[in-house]
Amino acid sequence: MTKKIKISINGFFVEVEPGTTILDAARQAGVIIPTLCYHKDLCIAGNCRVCVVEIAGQKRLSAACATPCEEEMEISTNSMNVLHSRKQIIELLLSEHNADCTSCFKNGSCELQKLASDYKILKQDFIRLVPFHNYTIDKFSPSIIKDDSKCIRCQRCVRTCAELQGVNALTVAHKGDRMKITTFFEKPINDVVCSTCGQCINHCPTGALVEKNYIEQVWDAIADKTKHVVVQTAPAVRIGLGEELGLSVGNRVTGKMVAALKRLGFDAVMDTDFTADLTIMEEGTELLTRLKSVLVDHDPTVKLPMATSCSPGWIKYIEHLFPDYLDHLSTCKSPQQMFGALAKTYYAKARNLDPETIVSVSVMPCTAKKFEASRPEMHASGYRDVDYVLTTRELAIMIKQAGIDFLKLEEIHFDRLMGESTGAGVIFGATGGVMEAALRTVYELVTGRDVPFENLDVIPVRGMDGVKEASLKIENPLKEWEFLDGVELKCAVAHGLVNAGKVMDSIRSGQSSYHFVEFMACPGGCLGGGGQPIPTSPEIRQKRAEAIYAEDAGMPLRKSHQNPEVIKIYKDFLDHPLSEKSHHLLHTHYTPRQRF
Amino acid sequence: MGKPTVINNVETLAHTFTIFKYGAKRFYDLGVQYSRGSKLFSVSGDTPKPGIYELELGMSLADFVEEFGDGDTKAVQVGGASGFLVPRKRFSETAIGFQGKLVGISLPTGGSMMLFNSSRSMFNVLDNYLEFFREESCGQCTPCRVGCQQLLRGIKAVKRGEKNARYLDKLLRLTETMKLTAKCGLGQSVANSFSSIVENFREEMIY
Repeated sequence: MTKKIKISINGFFVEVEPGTTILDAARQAGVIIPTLCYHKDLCIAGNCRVCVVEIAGQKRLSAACATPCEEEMEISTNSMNVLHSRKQIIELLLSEHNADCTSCFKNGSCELQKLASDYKILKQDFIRLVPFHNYTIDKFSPSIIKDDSKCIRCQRCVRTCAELQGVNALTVAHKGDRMKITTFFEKPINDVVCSTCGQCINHCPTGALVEKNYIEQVWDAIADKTKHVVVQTAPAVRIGLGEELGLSVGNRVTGKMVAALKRLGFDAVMDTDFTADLTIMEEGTELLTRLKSVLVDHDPTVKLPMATSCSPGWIKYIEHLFPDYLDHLSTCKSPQQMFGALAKTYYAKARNLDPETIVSVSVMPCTAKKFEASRPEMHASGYRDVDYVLTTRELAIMIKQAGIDFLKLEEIHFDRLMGESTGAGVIFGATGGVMEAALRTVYELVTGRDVPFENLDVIPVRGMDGVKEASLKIENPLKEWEFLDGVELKCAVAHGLVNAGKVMDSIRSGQSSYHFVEFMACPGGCLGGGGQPIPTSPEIRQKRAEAIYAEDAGMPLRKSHQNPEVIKIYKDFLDHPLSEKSHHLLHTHYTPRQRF
Repeated sequence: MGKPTVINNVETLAHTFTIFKYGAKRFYDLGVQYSRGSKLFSVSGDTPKPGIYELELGMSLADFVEEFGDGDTKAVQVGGASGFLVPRKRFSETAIGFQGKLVGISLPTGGSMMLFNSSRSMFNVLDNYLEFFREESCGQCTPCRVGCQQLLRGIKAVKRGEKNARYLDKLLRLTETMKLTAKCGLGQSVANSFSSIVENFREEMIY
């Protein structure tokens, strides 16, 4: 036990652990100090200066986020010096910020706007600086819009891109009044190493970084009577959406979400979880085929470990940074794109619809999905497979626009044909979920027995450790898989691109002996995606993960190969995993990209 | 390798040389109570003999101007753009040294002494300093990055009559905020030249 430090905050004594910052000590004592550049996911920057406090005996004010408590410190968070300075700093930030709030996508969810509202700075007579800068809005990316006129230079995005993702697409350039957040050679975001994961958006306090939204296009499609609008929803959306609509973190709203989508006017509401299950069938079979090629046929062209391919942010990352490792990627499309390809083929045929009239919309916890849908190879159906991708946040906006009283909705089930899912599909939303789902199916396929974990819960691949490892010994396999007898299947799970990079480095150096690795671009997996509600923090990710596993535990079916609609689609349409039709519709290829 | 490293500037090393050559006593005998020895000064501006001079610490600014002025000295900027401007009426009460009466510690940092005669507009002087600060700010912290831009644009707006004279008080309050909250010495010291120029030559800022 280390000795606690005694301090006083606004005259009240508090005891805190050594090393506690003034910001955290104040929060423990029930005093909220405002912050902008501070974020729980990131290292301390101390550059916005909004959190300044006065410490008795010190000439200058200190940033509460960056100052550790010391014995007998007397801290004032609301002295006249602090209040005057803090107000003036907020006024300065507003003077360089394009505060055209009513036309901003972040109107109502902007941290600077919230501060302005809390501090009520009614006389703002600093000179407006925005007109003196030659700002242009970068709209070239299908995922991210960057508007420097709204940037307050807190560098949360820069730290996110470097620390959480290890990508460094965003960086600080220039100094003084010209200092800004930009990219390599100030190129558009679309032309640099950006993975489009959207973590920068999720960490931006203002409207400087937002998703490219397709709300109007989706409303137009719904209103168009000649169109049949199909929507799919990703696993992580149902456990995040409630946060945007007045519920606390960790509430599952699957049934209400389906009901809301129906009320918005979508013609069919189906589930990406269905194609998540389908992904497991294809990817699991691909894994076994690869294992056979390597272990039995000794085919040098087949690469292990096989890497998952459901996370489009991860895909773009590896295309940029490890372009010589693309043949390690599973050729399976992500569940979103599998769904898109099937919506305009299998679904169209079953419902007797002209695929030309189908508009395929997806709701994703993700901004990289917007980029993925725009990839030229994603036209397997003969049309663009997924027309519009909405984030969880955009769906919440549409629900509010439609005046739907979300909490009063009756829960309903997804539409049939591609609306059935198992618990294995649901856990795709959490880091380790794809791995767990794959092991549940692959182990049973090979041995005829359940995966050897209590209640099918593959605990070693769960949790928030950056890189998780698991191994599973295959014993007494079925005759067809005899070559796997005694093989210890080695798996790893990485989430957050900085961790993905670590695993890739170990693969490149030849130190890893993995057979199968799950990679997710975002910390926590899709539940912490760039399109999820803001804020997202370590605690929030944990609660969302608990919700996902609770959803899984409550499902009657928990293994992808049990999904009756998956069984049906193979019977009626695809024949078997890795069939020619599967190859055409459900598999893809990758493109090497530049490193900058 | 885990050991502390002493980093000295050239001036310190040069002093070491003279102290070794002439002995500590001779060095100590120069200067006043807390400001011992001599120091190199860079003298510039309205002076017939600009250059680098070694002067005794504790010298009064009146003596300095007597030596280096052109007979028409209106003010002296002591310590560069981050230092203070001393108007003529304060020359005799100001000493150059670490513990000078008016400006104290910041006085000899760089040893920069800039003389201005009556042909100079103090508005232009301040404008020049602020342009320097606006550019030299690294841009990280809000008070310095935005503050410097506001100060520069602010004095121009007052001069042009776009802002009224009382706006200068808001800017003075802003420099106070910068002094209290800026992350490093650069932003914290903008207040020095700004307040000493605006307070002593307010009418030059307005008219």
